[in-house]
Amino acid sequence: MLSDAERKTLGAIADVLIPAYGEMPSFSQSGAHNAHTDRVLELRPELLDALKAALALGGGGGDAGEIAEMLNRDQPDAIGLIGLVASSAYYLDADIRTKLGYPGQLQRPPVEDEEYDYEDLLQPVIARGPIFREPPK
Amino acid sequence: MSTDEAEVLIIGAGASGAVAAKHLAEAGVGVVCLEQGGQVSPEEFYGDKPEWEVMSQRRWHPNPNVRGLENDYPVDTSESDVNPLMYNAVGGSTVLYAAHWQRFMPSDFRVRSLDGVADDWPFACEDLEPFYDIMDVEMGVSGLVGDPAYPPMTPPPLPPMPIGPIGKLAARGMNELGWHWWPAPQAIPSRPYRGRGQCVRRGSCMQGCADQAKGSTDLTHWPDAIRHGARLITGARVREITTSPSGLADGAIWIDREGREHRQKARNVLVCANGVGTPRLLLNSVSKAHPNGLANASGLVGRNLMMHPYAAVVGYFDEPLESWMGPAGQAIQSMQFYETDETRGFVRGAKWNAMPTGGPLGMRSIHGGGPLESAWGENFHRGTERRLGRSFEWGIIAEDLPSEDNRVVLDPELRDGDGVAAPKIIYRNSENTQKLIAFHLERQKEAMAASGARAISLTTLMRDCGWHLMGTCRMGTNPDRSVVDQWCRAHDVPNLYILDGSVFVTSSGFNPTATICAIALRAVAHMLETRGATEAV
Ligand SMILES: Cc1cc2nc3c(=O)[nH]c(=O)nc-3n(C[C@H](O)[C@H](O)[C@H](O)COP(=O)(O)OP(=O)(O)OC[C@H]3O[C@@H](n4cnc5c(N)ncnc54)[C@H](O)[C@@H]3O)c2cc1C
Ligand code: SF4
Repeated sequence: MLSDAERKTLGAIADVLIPAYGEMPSFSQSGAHNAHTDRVLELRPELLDALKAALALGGGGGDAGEIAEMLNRDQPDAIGLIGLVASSAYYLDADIRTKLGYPGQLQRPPVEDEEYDYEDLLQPVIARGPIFREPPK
Repeated sequence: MSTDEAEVLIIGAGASGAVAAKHLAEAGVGVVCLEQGGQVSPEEFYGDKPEWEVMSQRRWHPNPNVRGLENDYPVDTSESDVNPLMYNAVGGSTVLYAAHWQRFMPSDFRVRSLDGVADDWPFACEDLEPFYDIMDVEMGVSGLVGDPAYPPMTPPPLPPMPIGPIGKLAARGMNELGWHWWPAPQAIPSRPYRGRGQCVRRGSCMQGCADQAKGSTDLTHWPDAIRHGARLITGARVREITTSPSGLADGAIWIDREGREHRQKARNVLVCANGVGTPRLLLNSVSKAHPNGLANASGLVGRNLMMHPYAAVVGYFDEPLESWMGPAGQAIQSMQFYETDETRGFVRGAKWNAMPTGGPLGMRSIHGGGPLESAWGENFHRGTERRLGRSFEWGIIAEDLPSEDNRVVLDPELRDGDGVAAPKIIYRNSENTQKLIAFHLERQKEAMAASGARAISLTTLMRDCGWHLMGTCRMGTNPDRSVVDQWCRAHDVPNLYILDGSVFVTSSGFNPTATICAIALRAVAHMLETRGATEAV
């Protein structure tokens, strides 16, 4: 798991990548640096060491925006990884999903009158007739 | 472990292996199947959980090199434009497939006669038709009869899945241009079917169907095969097929998950390990009688690999389309540009599929390096706002012509977890394919504009797109130019059969699994008809 210091660095850099925008909170405002980040790392434990290394590169304090720019220029894989973990954690959050109007992958069984409610749209295709080539026998 | 001789040994429990096992077992043939993976249970899937997209990036990724599970083998792709995709378990790659259930066109079997390239198949489309019909029923295909892109055919057993908002939007654009489209046929039940639930449109089909609706062969075929006595041994990685002094196949050596070696004797061997796994296994099966690998007197085992390079245009729209809703595969399809028109500067064509675009995480890449603000900052939110629920993709299944240079070989160094030589892929896109893709992308841009897209983005070639593995043990009548005959029987080894996508002569511009299964079924029917008259069963 991440130490408190690493989590703080993650929050600071990830806020540059995922800032507040309109209705949407920033990464740390959403709280995604806590349980959701832990969940992502629990599901993808192979990312942990590389993430810790990436955070160590940006962990010396200073302006998070400059650190993010520096990492993007000099250590693109490191910023890519921080971004991947951050966006994965951010979009796990139920409030964020609600704000996006995204209900998740729900069960929506088709109902019968939906099955062929485009008959009119199909008429021109049918009217144009066959379009396949008959090969020689 | 028993060393009793099996009447038929099947290697690989995927699409073709499952179809063969069911039909042979039902006919009373003694079947043993060796499968390197295990049985996947629905609880292992994440489609019904919030973490679905996180898990799609590794555990349920279709590239075995990304997953790196014990049941996977590594593939060297350093000399390939495209990564081969697959799943290694009971049900094989159908566990992850999108279940587009497509028949080939009559012209697909006569490419040499019609277009002067590649080769004709040793049989015609009509010869496969009865087997396509049976497969439709066994898989539980939903679709609408009457597609003018095809000759008349038997209706599928289930009504089509709804085409939904993205299908209708795509269809309106096609109508505007006077272009063909049709609701897509899918091996996904629109109604409850033979003990499987109705598809609930969760849209996670390509990470496994948690609702157990999708027609994957672990559900559609294995239960029947086992009920009729087929013995399925999982966690069994076949290292090599063995041969008798007379050069006939007589069984296989396999390794269990504790690393112990076993021998399974057999009177007939059916290889169903897919277009990469099959040539790998044959090339690993070297003996005095078969010094270049089994069934390889022609030198064509592993050659002519075709993978359907995939390109796509995503269109972004103002209106909400719920474009995370399933099935993930396709709402509608188009064959407007399927057949050859030489004025385009290339031969052959492609099927198009209109597909949903998934959840908020999408295919976010791990790589940085571009300007920070292009992917992050406010643009991170804008990207999601633009795509999520308001976009769809027109994808291109580009027909890939056979070339002997595109091939599967054994890697000199890479080994799987059991120390067995791993495959290496050498594969480049031909000039014909490049021109074909460029033409189709231009037409798809027009289709998106006609549907009212406010913006589009283009994928000119997706690297992780080798979901269709074909051609590496092609069939034909001439043993110098092919590996198996029209009944999937190896020219050099009369009791060895290859039933998977390896036997394809050409790739068509269609997803191949309906055709793989129909060919496997036709071969099995022939084995049963000639039972006793030959070495077969
Ligand atoms: C993400 C994805 C989406 C797809 N979507 C579609 C689609 O929409 N429509 C379509 O038509 N097709 C689709 N496909 C392709 C489809 O899944 C394959 O065409 C089909 O499964 C191939 O069948 P097969 O029998 O040739 O091999 P597979 O189904 O791949 O089965 C081969 C089996 O052999 C086993 N095996 C291999 N080597 C060994 C060994 N040495 N010892 C023991 N066992 C071994 C493997 O573990 C595997 O289970 C898709 C594939 C993927 C990965
Ligand atoms: S959309 Fe249908 S087939 Fe696909 S995963 Fe959901 S229930 Fe299964």
